[in-house]
Amino acid sequence: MNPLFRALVERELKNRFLGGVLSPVWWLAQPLLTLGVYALVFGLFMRSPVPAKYGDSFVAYLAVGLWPWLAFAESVTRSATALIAQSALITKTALPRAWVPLSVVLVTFALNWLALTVIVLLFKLLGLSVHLSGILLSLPVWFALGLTAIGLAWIVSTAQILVRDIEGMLGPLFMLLSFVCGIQYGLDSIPSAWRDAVLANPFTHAIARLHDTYLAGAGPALADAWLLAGGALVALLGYAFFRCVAPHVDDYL
Amino acid sequence: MSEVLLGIHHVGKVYPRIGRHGAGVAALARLLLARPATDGFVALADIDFTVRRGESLALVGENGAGKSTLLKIIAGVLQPTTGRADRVGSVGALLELGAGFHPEYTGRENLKLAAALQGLTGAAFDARLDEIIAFADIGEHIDAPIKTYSSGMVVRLGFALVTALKPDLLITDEVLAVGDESFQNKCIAWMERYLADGGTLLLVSHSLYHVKKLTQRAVWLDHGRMRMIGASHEVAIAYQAFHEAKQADAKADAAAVDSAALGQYAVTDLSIERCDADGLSLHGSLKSRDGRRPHVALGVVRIDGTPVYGTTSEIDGAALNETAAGSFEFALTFSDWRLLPGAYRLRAHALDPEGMRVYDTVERDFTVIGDSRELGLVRLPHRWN
Repeated sequence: MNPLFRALVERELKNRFLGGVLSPVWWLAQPLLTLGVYALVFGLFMRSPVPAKYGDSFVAYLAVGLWPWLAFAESVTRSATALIAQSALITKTALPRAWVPLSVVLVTFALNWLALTVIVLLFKLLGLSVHLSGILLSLPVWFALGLTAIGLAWIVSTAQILVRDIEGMLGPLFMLLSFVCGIQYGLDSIPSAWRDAVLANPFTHAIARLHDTYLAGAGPALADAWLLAGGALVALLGYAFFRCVAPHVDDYL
Repeated sequence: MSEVLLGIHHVGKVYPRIGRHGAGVAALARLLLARPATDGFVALADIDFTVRRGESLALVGENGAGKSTLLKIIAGVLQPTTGRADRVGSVGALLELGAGFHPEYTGRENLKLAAALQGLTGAAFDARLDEIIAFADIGEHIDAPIKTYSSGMVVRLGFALVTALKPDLLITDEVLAVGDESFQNKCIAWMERYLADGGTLLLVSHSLYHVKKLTQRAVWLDHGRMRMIGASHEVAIAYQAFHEAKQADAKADAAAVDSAALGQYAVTDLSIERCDADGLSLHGSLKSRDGRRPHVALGVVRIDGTPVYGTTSEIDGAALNETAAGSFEFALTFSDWRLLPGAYRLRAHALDPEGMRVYDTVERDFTVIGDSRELGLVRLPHRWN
């Protein structure tokens, strides 16, 4: 890894743990709290059924879809303000600007992957139906989500400087997307009239592959290649956007 | 001739107008379509010069002249709107106090990223860390968060890092204005050694003393344009003269007295025949309405109005020559000229025959050329014992 990029990643990592009393454990505690809320609402109150092939633990079903999704949504949302937050650095030093959102995405994904790995190991110890092989077999899906996040991060981090409404729109957008990609309930629970629309969402397939690998012990599939190709395309488009806009953002910072 | 380290080719920079409703969306569309900004604030226009290895160049100019914008373009931080900046070799830039430092991190932690930004990483950084900390000389504060530092301590840390880098081209923007005197002297001594060892310096400073001491050439930027380029002492004199004239004009506007309106005696001509290192010769003429022989007062002032010397024909017991009825002329030579280089103003006042009342004032500006770095207005004869 380039020493400068490594220093940037280290700084991004340290930023997560500076300040608050709970900062050192927040990377694990926050998704756990979200998991708890969703488990309470969708598992206990609404009794969302778990598709049979994924076992009988709603918490495990929820967790393996939720953590990668949170990694994706959080990294894009954090990236939206990354260049603005680092304006003192990017307008005064010759730092490669593309690395700023890249470091945010990398750190967010790394922390969430680590958190889910810890959770999956814990589930296994508690006797829940998870497959440890999923930790590695799910990596193509994690990479696909990561590539998509990087592409979007490059777009929103620069666009946010010029159009400051973007960050505010991301929260509702990601919330909507999270509810229509099968994280909190199986696709069987969705009315048939809407099912095709939900299946048209590429994130639905990414979440399904995470369920397959972590909960059903499924091996590599062609869908992984499609997801990776889609992620790479978004990353390329995002970088092209970034290269057009980023060199000129000083004028607006 | 040494290699060109920096080539600035017709560089221009236009900052687009921002703040209008919808301007951001329009700007985004324009950038994506690669269309240049059609209107905005012109920060730089047609800047063109080169810097060769081993040279030292200063950028001088008033606030808002475009110095910092130009330095950012040279450092590769900012993109020019037109033209291009070509750089060869490593560039070390101190663009602003604490640029790149994070307030929450300690001095030691900040040095790591700042060094990485300048290309100093890994074992090479570790090997020089003690040297950097020693130069900064901020004691145990090195392990305290930067937010607890004084501005002087921040600049010490930034400059100390540069001393370890020894870049091919060093760019500094007013960093010497912040540190205390002893640290300034330490920095100046380091820069002199750096230049003596073949380093190349680009310096922005409002201190003309630093400009003359540290640089060979200077560029004077005025409202984003190059007003003058040349030897730093010449540019410094011209720039200082510009400022002094500006201040004098402001004073004159405030206390304008139209003595000529009194009309009795008037200076009708004042000409400088010769002005060089040896002295100044002048002549002039006066009109007298009542035909009585007037006196003339002659004075030399710095361009900002600071008096240097003045005398009158009445004090010296000289009488003006009458060339026609009511017309008088005078001529004077200042010899053994000891004025230091700079911009000056010659003043002639028409006085009544009693040498008591001033009726008219005429001025002529002149410049004493030279490369002396002595301070003040006149050279006082002296010797070192």
